[in-house]
Amino acid sequence: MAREKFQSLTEQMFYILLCLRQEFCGADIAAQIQTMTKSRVIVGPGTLYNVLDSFVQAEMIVETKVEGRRRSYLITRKGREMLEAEYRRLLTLTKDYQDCIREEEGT
Amino acid sequence: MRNTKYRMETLQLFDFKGMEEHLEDMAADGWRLEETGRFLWKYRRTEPARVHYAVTYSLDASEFNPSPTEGQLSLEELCAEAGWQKVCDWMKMQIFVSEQETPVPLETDEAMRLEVIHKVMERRLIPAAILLGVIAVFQFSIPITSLIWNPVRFFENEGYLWAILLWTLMIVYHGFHMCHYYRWYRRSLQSTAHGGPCAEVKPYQLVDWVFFVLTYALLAIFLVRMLKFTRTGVTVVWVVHITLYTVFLILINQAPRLLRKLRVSRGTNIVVCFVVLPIIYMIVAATVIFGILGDNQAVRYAEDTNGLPLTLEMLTGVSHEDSDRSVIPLGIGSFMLTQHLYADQGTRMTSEGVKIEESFYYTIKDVKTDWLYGKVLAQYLEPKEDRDQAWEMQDAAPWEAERVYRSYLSGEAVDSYLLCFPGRLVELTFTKFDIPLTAVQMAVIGRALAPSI
Repeated sequence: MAREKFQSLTEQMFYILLCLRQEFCGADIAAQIQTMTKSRVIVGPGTLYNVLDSFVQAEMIVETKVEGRRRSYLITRKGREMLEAEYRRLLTLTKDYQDCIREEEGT
Repeated sequence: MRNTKYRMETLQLFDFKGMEEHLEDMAADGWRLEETGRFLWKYRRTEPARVHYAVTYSLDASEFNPSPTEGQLSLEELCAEAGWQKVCDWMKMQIFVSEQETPVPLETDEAMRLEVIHKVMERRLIPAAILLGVIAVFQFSIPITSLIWNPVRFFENEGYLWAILLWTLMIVYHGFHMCHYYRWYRRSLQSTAHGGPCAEVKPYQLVDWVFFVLTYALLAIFLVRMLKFTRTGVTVVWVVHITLYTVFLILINQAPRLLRKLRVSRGTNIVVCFVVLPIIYMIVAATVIFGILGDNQAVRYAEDTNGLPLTLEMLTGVSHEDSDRSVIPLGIGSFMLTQHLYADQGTRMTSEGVKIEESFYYTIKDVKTDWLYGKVLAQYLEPKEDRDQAWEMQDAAPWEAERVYRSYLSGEAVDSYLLCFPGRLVELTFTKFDIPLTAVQMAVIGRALAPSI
């Protein structure tokens, strides 16, 4: 069961999980996020290390291989559920925003 | 010109920002951090440069590990990819440096950073608090029990008072550290919950220095007072004890790092630091201390009559041969109560030409308050059933004292007297002397042993 702190994901956590739909090593995750978000989201190595460690502890990702000091990870079913839940939460936020704006424009 | 320098750093483990700024300032002055330690940090001279330092924490790091854990290596790899080079670590704190002008920040999620710092601090603060609590209870229990049940014994030994004072100081200091951390944690939680950074750590190195100076100043005062109240030998013992303890503290703080360098396993390192070293310390301390006590009988022999307020010569009017006089402070004493044992023995020729041996000894207890005076007197007068000893009041007038008691053992008078003066109690025992005393001798005794006004 996901811990309470993962009831919602931070932006950085969201992108890390999103990246790990494919197997990536830590350093590649940071680069991938930077590319994906056009440098809007930067994940520092210290943060990445601790988030990956927390995700492994919460069984949201698994370590797939270790090559030297490089460790690769992949999202688990639980991780996908978390990602999906976060996506729905964001959609709800977006929908609420749109409803408010429409209401405002309609009046 | 020196190429290395050591500094005593008093920054807190959670003060990552203070640490980063401090190291950047040092680098700008031409000193780069090379090694950390509990007390002293080693810096190497370099060209002054503007470099960036960043601090992060690794939960699986430990000062007892012989080599970096896989987690630490993984972190180093991630950091190296981002242009950060590992400098060294300090407990669970990992210190990195980057020569880049604008490197990627090491930490980009303040809430996550705070969570990790909190785990690190809880693992450190809580066991330390428990350990300190257990030791403090042990250290407090003896003097407090003594103060409640036997105040005379408590005030006979000023060491009890100092133990309470020093341990109170220690607890206040650690309490302050804990409160300081938890206040910072609470403020940081509020800040990060709203997307802000961790709170600033208010610098309080001054508190550390004040504590350090105060502790050693108190110890110095304690030793000076010991010299005043007690025998020299005991003071030497305390000086040796405090020195050994300081050496032990330095050793136990340096040991994990030294053992780490020797690639000793984590388990062995922990056993050496927490079991072997304390045992060695106790053995060495006991050997040295009892060695000193054994060699030094801690008796200050009175070379002349000035050392003794009352001598055989004063009682008999005749000087003695083979005179052997001594003054022995009893116990450590305190500002409330001091006690000294005086003894005099020697031989003299009587008017009939017979050589006789005479000896006596007396204990003078100077008591500062009426309350404690009453307790000390009561302790004397309470019947000692195991010895069937009792004190019976005598006429005090010839002695020029407030009250005088004589000791009786199994109903028979013995040659021990208890003389009560204002603020002073004297127990006087004649081991070899012609009893009964004359009125003149009683008056001499009373005048000699009464406290000077």
